[in-house]
Amino acid sequence: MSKKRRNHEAANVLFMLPSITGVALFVVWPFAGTLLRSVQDAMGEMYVGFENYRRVFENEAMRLAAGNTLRFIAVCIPLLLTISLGLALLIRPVKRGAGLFSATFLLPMAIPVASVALIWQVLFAKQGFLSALVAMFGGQPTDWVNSDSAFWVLVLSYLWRNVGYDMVLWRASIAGLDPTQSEAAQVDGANAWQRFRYVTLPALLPTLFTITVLSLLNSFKVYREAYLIAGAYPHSSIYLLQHLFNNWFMSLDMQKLCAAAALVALVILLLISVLQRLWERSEP
Amino acid sequence: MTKTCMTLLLILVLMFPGSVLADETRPMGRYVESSIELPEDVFVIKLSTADDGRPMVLGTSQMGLSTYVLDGSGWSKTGTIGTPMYWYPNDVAQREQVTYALTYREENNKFIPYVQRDRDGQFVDIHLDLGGTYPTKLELAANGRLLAQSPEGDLLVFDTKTDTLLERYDGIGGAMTLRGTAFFAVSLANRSVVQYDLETGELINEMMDAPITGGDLLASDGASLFLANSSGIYRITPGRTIWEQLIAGNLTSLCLPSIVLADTVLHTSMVVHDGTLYIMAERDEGHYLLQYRFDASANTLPRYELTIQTLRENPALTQAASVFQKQNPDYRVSISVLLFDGAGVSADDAIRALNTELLAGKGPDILLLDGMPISSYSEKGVLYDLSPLISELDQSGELVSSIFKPLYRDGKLYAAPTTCYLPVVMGKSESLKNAKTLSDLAELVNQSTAEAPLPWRTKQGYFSLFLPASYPAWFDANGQLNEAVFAEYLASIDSIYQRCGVDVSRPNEKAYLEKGVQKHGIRDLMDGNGGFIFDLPRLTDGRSIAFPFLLGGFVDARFEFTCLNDISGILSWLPGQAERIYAPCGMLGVNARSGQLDAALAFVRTALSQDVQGLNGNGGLPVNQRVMSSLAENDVNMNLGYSMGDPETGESLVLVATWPTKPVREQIGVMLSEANACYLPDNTLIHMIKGELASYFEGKMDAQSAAQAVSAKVRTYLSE
Repeated sequence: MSKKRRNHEAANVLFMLPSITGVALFVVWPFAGTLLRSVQDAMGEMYVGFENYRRVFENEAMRLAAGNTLRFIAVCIPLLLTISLGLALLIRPVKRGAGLFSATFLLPMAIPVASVALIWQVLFAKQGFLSALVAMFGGQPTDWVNSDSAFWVLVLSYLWRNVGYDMVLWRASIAGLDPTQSEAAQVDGANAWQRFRYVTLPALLPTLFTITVLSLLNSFKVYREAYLIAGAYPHSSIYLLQHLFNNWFMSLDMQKLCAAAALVALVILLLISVLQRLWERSEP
Repeated sequence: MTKTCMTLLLILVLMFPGSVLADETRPMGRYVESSIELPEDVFVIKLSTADDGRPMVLGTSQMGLSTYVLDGSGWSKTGTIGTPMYWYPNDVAQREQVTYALTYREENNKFIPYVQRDRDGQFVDIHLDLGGTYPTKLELAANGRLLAQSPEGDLLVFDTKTDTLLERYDGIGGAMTLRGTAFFAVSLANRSVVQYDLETGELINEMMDAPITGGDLLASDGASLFLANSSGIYRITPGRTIWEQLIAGNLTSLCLPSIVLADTVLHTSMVVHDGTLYIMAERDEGHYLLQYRFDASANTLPRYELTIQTLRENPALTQAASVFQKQNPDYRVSISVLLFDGAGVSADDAIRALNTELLAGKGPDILLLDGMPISSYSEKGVLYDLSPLISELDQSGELVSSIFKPLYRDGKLYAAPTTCYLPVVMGKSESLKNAKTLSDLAELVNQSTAEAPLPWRTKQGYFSLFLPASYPAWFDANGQLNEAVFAEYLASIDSIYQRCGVDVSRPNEKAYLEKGVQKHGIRDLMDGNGGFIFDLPRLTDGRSIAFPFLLGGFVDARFEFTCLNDISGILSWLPGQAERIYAPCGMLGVNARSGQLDAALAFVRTALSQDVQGLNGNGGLPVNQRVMSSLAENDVNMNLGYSMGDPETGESLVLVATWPTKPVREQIGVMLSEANACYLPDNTLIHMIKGELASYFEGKMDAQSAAQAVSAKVRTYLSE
């Protein structure tokens, strides 16, 4: 290896060092601590093996929270990806005002969560706007966030907040596509759906992976809205993993919290790996 | 180089906090508190200053008014004055053999104030124009001016040569003291101390930013001015504008909740002589004299600090801290109250922050666990096992064993209650003798012909009222809510509410409710927390048959005991789904990772000792067996009355406070010893249950459906 090349590599390492140190200090080390505590008792004084994992698997609240979180992800991510892609495609031909349109959809991200929670309360409380609307048509006022509808309120909240961001990502990706391929397909007689299905969509797959991972990570942030609207013990349909973790921290169940956190990290890692594998396989 | 290294080493040694050198440079000198016995066989009226400046007590006995001066060997009687007419004097002022007494005389159902002056041992009225005020305090100034002060804030100054009114000041109802021909007084409105010239009547000075609390005392030693209250004792010297703290209140008895400083109302006072401060304070049992003498050999600040965290202020804890500091002068007890007005945090936030500290192996030495997740802290090993200490105290007959037994888990005890409450009901024997369970009581009230057999409450009020006696029965072996038992509870509450519930469409019930709201606040009344005093006359005259309440200290239940005597009734366990329940309170736990375990355990021992437990007349029943036996044995003459308008009829009612009779006191002792299960509610769970029962409380949901809804709601919480 030449001296120049070695110097170049050393410079690379030096440039990466602050970032690596940060990640090691604030992510890897705490996570290693979490893994360690997941096999210890609550106060971290005694090794208990996999007892905490066993208790987490047997825990009814954990099963409910995990089920709700998975359900939420399963419903929200496809919906979000579809709606945001649809909107991005919809404004694709628009030349004037498309930026303003996108910016409008980005506004919810700029609103503080506490304000969003307040808006949802005004809309969905028993004495709120939606109940008043329902009552106008002869229906019964409902406390939407404390009934079976709570799940859909949360889905709506997530979509409203994230659709603009995903749309911007889709738009950026679409703008980077080579228009000649689509034009060639059109010349060959492909209709709009066929052009989308066989030309545009395959070209967007790398972006799909990024947006899916980002949306997945963003889906965990919806807990803030759920907590602010309905507290630590919301309706059972929106009782998420973060509720459980927060409550375990309150009751000092650190051993269960760490075991569950390790499991969740493992599931997310697996999920991302599977997505990555799928993406790699679909790459030309 | 060597020099530089040596210099650096020296700096490091000096900076190191645990070094011997630093220890030797600890600041020394502190005022040390001690108590002084007051003269015997005399009813002390006030602490004052003799003409030579020594502390002097003015007291009254069958012999008349007497003066006692404190000297090296104790109190010396220095004189006997005549007996004021009409009644015991409310206050007395003496200077250079002239004595003035303030008395009250009943005329046409009103008490009229009179000021008398002694002349050759005979007091005579001097007919001062008191201008419609009701003074409670007299002071005699060096220039012969007589000052009469009322708690309402009126201060009148008279010329004693002509007995005429010279000046009238408004807004001076706090502490007041004299210096030469001037007086100093606390102005609560401006939070300042004002100085007026008694010759000219003019304001000389106003000292702003005084550390006033509302219960203050003032004294002067001729040069400096002293201010005392629960936060400490302060001094301001001539020409200065800053109050210097001489003594921190939390290191003395001044911070005890049982100690009251109220200058004009209770004649508590402070005098300074030869640099020593004397404070006469008021306690439940009467006047109490404290001395603060400077000790140059004592550390300025105690060497060690014992830290305590509590969610809310607790008088018993402060009491224990004060006694502990007195017994252990090397220790300073710091109490952190996590939730206070303006704290800006919720209980959850405070507990979360505390948990973070505990998990990091830090946190306070002692926790007052009321409102905290006790069972979680016990299970997780946060708390130190108190069972050896409690067993030792129990075996020596110090504790009421039954209060501690139900709190043991696997032979270990992590939280020790310092007081407790008993959920009881009082009423006539024939009514209550067969009501053992809540269903029995519901049946009884439905059969009764009384107007409202139980106190008027909302459904939520009844839910909370009977909660302590039923809550422990709601959970099965797995810790889950037993839906059937809970539904039965709600059905009984429904039944009681149908028969006795408050109906605001009826004028008398509306008036009752409104008055109750004014007195206790809507939340207390709705939640059933307030012991509603208007329920007692209803029981006395037979409009109701029973009165359920949480029995705390004997002082707390003074009106209930009068009612119990009036109806010749009985006191029994509150009927519920569980039996013989008590509610522990002031739960103390020791942080297992505290670096001062011995001191923390000594603190718990102090909190459970007679010295502390005997001081509580309210805020719960003592858990110390000796104190409880002494309470059962000793009678206290309570001379208190309470006048009020009946909210329903508007007629005047007088409630008299009574110390319970010996049989009742003994019965309470027996009930305490028979208690076998504790009511230790999970606040989060109660909050969830009440939230889910909103429709049930509104009458829109039946008991069974409500129980199902609650069961579903709390299932997740209980499975966590």
